[in-house]
Amino acid sequence: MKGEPIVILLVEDDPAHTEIIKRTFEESRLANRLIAVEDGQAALDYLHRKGLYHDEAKFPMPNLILLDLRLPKVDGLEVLKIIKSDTKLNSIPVVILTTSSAESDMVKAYEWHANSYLVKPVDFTQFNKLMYTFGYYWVVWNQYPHDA
Amino acid sequence: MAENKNGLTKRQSLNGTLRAIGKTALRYNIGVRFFSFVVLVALLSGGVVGFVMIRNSRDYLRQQALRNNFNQAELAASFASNYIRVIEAHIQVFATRPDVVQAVLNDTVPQLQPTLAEFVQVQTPLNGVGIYDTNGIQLTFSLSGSTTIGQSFADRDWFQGVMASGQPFLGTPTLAKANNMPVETFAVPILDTQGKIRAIITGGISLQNLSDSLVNIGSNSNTQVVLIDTRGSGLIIADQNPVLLLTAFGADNQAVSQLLTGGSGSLITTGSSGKQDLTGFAAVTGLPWGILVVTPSSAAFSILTSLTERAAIYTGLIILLSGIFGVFLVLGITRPLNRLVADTKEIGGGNLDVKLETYGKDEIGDLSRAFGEMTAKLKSTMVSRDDLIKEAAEREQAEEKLKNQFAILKGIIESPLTPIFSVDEKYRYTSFNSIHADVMKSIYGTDIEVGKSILDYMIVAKDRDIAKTNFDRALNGEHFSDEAYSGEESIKQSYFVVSHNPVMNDDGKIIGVVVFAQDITERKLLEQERENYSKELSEKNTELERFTYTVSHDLKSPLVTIRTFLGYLPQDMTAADKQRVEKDLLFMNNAADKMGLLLQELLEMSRIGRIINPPVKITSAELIKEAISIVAGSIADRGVKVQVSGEHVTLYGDRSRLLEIWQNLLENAVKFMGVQPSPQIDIGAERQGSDTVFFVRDNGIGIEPQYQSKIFNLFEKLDTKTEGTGMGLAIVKRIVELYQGKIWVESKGLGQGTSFFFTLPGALTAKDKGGSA
Repeated sequence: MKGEPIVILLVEDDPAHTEIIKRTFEESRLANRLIAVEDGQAALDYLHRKGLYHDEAKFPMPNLILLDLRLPKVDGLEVLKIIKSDTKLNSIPVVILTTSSAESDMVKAYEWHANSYLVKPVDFTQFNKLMYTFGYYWVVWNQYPHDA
Repeated sequence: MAENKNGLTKRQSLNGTLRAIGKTALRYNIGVRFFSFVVLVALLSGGVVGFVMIRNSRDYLRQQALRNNFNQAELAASFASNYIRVIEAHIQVFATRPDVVQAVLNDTVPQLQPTLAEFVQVQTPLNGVGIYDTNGIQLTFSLSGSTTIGQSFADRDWFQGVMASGQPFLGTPTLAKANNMPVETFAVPILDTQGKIRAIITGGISLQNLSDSLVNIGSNSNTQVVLIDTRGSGLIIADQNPVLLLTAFGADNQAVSQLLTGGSGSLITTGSSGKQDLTGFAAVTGLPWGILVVTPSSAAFSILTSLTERAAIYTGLIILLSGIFGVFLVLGITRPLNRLVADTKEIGGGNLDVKLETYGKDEIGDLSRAFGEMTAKLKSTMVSRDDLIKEAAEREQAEEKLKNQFAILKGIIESPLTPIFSVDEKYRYTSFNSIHADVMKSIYGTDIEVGKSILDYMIVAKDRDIAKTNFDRALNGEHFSDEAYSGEESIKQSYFVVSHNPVMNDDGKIIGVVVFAQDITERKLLEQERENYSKELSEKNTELERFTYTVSHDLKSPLVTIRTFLGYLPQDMTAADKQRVEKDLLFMNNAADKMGLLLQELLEMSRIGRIINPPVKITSAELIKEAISIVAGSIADRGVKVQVSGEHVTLYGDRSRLLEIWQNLLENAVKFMGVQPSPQIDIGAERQGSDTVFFVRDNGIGIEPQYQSKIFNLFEKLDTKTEGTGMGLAIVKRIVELYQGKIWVESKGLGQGTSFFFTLPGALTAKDKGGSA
């Protein structure tokens, strides 16, 4: 990775959850750059470099997408579908991070080629542990194509 | 028959034989003529084909045999030429050997005797080699102690030949004493340096080996190969028969005479015994010789003979077979003709019961069938009066039977409790049962009659068109069943399953239609009711699923927030990070508020349709006024101008629920006013067709078209920053639906304002529902 930080696009409508995820990443001290957007439309605009997200230096293509399912405007599953149907975007790993443990959500997410599906634990320690493990796996160990 | 005779007379000159037969037996003339013609054609074609075939192959084979003989002759000539020339070359080389020439010049020729002997030993075809002086006296000879030394050979043709020309000379053949085989003497001059002849050296070339080889060239044991000397009369110098050696082959032989004049080729010659021979002949290059290859014709053409014989047999067989076939063909024509003649004779005699045989598909068959038909017609015209009387009686009986059957049929169509009727191709009734008559009367109010068109009774145009289309389908031969609906314009509404069946007469022609109709009105209405229920149920199910799913998710979300920040709190307090502690507490507070709000609205939601206050009469104006007063605080804060317009209707329903509709929509409008400098909300009702439509219209931020269908979903929020749980519009929708109404939104997009419309048919009093009540 030539020492460059992994760029993670976080799609999360709850500012409290965004704060939690940001804090766990800070504490793990893993080299990464977390950019958060609040709804499905914003995520798609970001990936398509539309409107606000025109500046490529400010909003680089993410190496990894962390996606919530219940999102305003465009639903998380819909965002996943659009990413995975787009040949320019479908190589970016998409990890679903949601409070929903509904079977139907999981099946649909995997059907649309989600790369991983994580359920936000209600317990503080568990949440910390999950984010720590997640960080290690996706930031330290996982390999990304160079021009992703 | 007379005509037949005339026709024949015209052609009598054709053939003498046929004429004779024709005169003696005129009746069988066609057969005889046919027979003769077929046999003649068979004979002619067989003969011609056979002849042409045999001639062609014989000529070809003859030419092949001749060519073969000539090829053999050429091969033998080439072999003989090469054989002799090699030996000649050896002798010539010997004549120029320095020791030989030196001995001649030094007059020491007799001393060369051992050299000559050695030469003869090496060159096996040589009998002997001798050296002679220019007077023809033999000086030495290869055989030691030869008695001919000193003798003169000046009289020999080879001596004279060499002396005259100064060139090597091949003498005429002589017979060797030792084996009685021909020997050719080849004489070569021995020259001095000035080119003058100083002596002559001769080599006696035995032709025994050459003869043996030549004789064996013949491919066929009957083939004879002969080598002749073409000087003079043509002496035989190689032959199988030693007796013939050195005798003349006979100049009268055409091949020999051509050979003597230097020709070559292949001929058929007549031998001494008078037999014919195939003779190929060729000159031997560089020598005064010729080769004859003689094969007796009988041997050469033996294959030809057997071929000819076989062809003749086959030709004969073909002729015989075609003759037999011709006879059968002719008999096949004449025999049925004869029988037909016999039958017609009998009919002519008055016997009309003769049954004519049919004779297949040819002209004779046609003729016999024509006779048969004629006989049948003749017979039918002779049916007696008695038969007519009998037939009349039978018809009466059949009519009686028909009447009975009709009565039975009538009974049958009257038995079921469903309408049955039939019409002819002009849609006129041919029969109907009383139930159909009752149905027609109940729908169209008239009594129907047989013979009148059913279409004339159908006073409703739509019914008439459908009925006519169906009759026409059946009249085109289609059997079918359809569901039919007696429309709203007719007197009574009914559903039927109607079966149409074409009626055919004995010829298969469609002469009418039978129609069975089964009244399924009751069943149909039940089905419709059931469908409506199941649709409603599935809608309810979907909503319930979405509800429980969202509730679990949306309630869990703030819980995660609270638990996590509770976890952070002790850390941040220990670190004495005041900012973080405040932030933690804020997030927890917000999450707790959200949870509280969510639970409150869920409770509200569950109450709709479950807890019903007793219905009261209230006008829409009152409800709007009350809603405005509840939201007055935020309206004043945002400086919104609210305008109430349009007509007002009296509603009848749960007061607090109805109020909730306007209150929610009003709150919504204020909340999404955006940065509008002159915010305004219009509330009222208007008539759209027969419906009363209520509206709440604002000039706020608007909704993009793609999200308009989602906003009424439970917990759906377009903007995360605004307050609320996303339940307001879902609650409004449920209340509207409770009063059988619809709610929809219109907005041209962002910044274009939003209009909510809804109807409340279930809450309207009869007066306000419009004309349809």
